[in-house]
Amino acid sequence: MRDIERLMRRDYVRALRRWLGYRELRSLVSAGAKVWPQLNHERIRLKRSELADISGRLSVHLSARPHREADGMALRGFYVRKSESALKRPLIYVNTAHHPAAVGATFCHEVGHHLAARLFAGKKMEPVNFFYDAAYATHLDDPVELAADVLVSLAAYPEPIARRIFAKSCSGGLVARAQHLSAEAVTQICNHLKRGYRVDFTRSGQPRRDLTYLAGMVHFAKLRWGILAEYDL
Amino acid sequence: MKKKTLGEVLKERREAMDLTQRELAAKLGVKASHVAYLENGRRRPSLSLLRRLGDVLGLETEPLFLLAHPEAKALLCKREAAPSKRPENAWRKFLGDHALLARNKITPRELRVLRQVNMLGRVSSPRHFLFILNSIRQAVEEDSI
Repeated sequence: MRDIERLMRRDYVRALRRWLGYRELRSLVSAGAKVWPQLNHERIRLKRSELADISGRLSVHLSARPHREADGMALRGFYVRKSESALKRPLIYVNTAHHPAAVGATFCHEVGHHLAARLFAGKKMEPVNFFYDAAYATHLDDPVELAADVLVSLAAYPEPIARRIFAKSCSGGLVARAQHLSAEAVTQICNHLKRGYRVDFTRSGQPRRDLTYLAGMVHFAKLRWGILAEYDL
Repeated sequence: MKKKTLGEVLKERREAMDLTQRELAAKLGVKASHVAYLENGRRRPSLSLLRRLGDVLGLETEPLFLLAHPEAKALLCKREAAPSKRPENAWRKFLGDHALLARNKITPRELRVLRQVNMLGRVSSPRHFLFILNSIRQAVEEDSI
């Protein structure tokens, strides 16, 4: 719960300004549109069967299987960069024990790492990027994670939907200081996720899991609002 | 590059939020002159005021605390330099489980790769190392086909 409160307070526009310039964001969107031509125009909902196709096109290994052992559910996925000594192609792992919408978001995030590699060419990159459930706040301090999350936000909230949710219902409108989501925006986001992704926070019967998904919802929605407010995308 | 002071951070944030010193003071429950003193660096906020500043201005309280008390940074850096207990324990447990290492035929080269993974400081359970390794092994096998 504290994580959610913290995310609600964080200034996403500030993080975007700090880590991702307009040009970098545009090139990330262009790269993403090569994978999903409807990116930022229509909502993207990934089916399990599509993950292998996309990985094949990107020439990336895909490991999609459940991991529940120990605290395995906390691990949503990871991306391993290719290396001369070990992997000839990068590897994306997604934990399929999660809700299908969460699996899709994780895959999108890991593809974001793959696409963003060019943005950060020349910078020292970690050999592995982990995506843990409870680590959204740390993504705001890490350009590599933030870039990967941008792709998820654009996939879940294409521009027409983002404008409808954020431009009208939030008290500040599209001013570049997107901070608190209004109650009306939260309602609209919940409806959007329920209709588009069959995510219903009130019906899963797993309160702890719901809270982590809720943190994800706040994070990606605020990030999307920030992108709209700061870059008008 | 010169690092910003607490006063500069507060002033910048207050102005970005279009608040006057008086308005911010009202939200914090202090006098406007106190806000002016904080922004000029002539006063240090108490811990409870720091928390309220974080809430009202939407700023993280820990960096604010460090700006208000730079001398505390040395103590905290020492704490941060030490690896966090949980991941380190996970790695030690993994390395110490000789039966597990033998059963899964983990080579010294693979251990080197996993040590790198451990240095990222995110893996919280010994079983995760095995899971990550198996995912990589599978991919390497696919590469060699």
